[in-house]
Amino acid sequence: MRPSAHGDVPVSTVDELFGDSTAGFMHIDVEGHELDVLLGGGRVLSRDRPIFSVEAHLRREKKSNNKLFNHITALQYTVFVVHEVCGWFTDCRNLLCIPDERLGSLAGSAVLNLAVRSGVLVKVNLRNISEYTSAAPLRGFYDAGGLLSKPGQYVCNKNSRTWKSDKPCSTANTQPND
Amino acid sequence: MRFNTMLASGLLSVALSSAQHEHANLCRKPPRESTFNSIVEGLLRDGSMPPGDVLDVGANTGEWTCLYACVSPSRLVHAVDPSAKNLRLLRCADHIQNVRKARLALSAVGGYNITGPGKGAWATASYRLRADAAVGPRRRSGEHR
Repeated sequence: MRPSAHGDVPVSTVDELFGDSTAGFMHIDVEGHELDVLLGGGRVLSRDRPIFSVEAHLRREKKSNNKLFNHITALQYTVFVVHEVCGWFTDCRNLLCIPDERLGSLAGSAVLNLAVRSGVLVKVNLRNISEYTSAAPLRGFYDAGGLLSKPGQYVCNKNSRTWKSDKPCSTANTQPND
Repeated sequence: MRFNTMLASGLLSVALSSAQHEHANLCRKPPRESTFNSIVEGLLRDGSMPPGDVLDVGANTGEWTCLYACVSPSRLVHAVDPSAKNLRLLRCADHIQNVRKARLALSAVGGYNITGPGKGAWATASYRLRADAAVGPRRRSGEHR
């Protein structure tokens, strides 16, 4: 379907979009509709076994997260939380989902090894997933705590559910208490 | 003659460096979600990412799309967003060959139209709620990225 003159937007699926093309990686950030997007990509996910990521609000949307998590693990994917705030709300995390059968061949990846060993990428299950909203130190949404920032500085929002400012503060204050 | 050649090569190098500068600008790493994007970029660069196209659903103005397209020029990168404005702002698609834009909403089933978002980025979130209502039970929606 094509957009009409009135600004209507066609709805499609991941399967329809890819057709015969192969999927290698998908980043899905659709404000709570991640499960719907995955449901529309069943053929691609089982055929190509891409790595994909979804955004989730680990505390605010526990119920829908459970459904999403169960669906992803039923597809035989392993879920890793990226320990970094990914949106306005401080419980927002990217979940990196890797096909179970690809984990062995990814063991040689330097970036994955470093991420897992340094604790920014954490393998989770349904039971412990919500714990990872409060583990410290929190990597902020904005680009602080990087190579060029001052020693000990991260961006944090001091005890709030949402960001109050993008000013850096010290690592001692990086845990939100939402 | 020699002078002309030197001048021409000088001009060429100026043109090249400005193109390179433009390219570097388009490929600038997004200032947000640096940890996540470093991991994805690392996987794309070290050959660990499975072969195939890249899909960015909810591409917004394409900061992620452009990064993925720059670091993996041999893959097609599809930017999908329901907002025409967002896709207009996705400028790297004009300069980088492997970016494809699609004004779509992706869901569990397709084949119908929904009313598009109004002006502004925030309208996208409410638009998605309407999309959800068309598919099934209404879920609480988060904020726009």
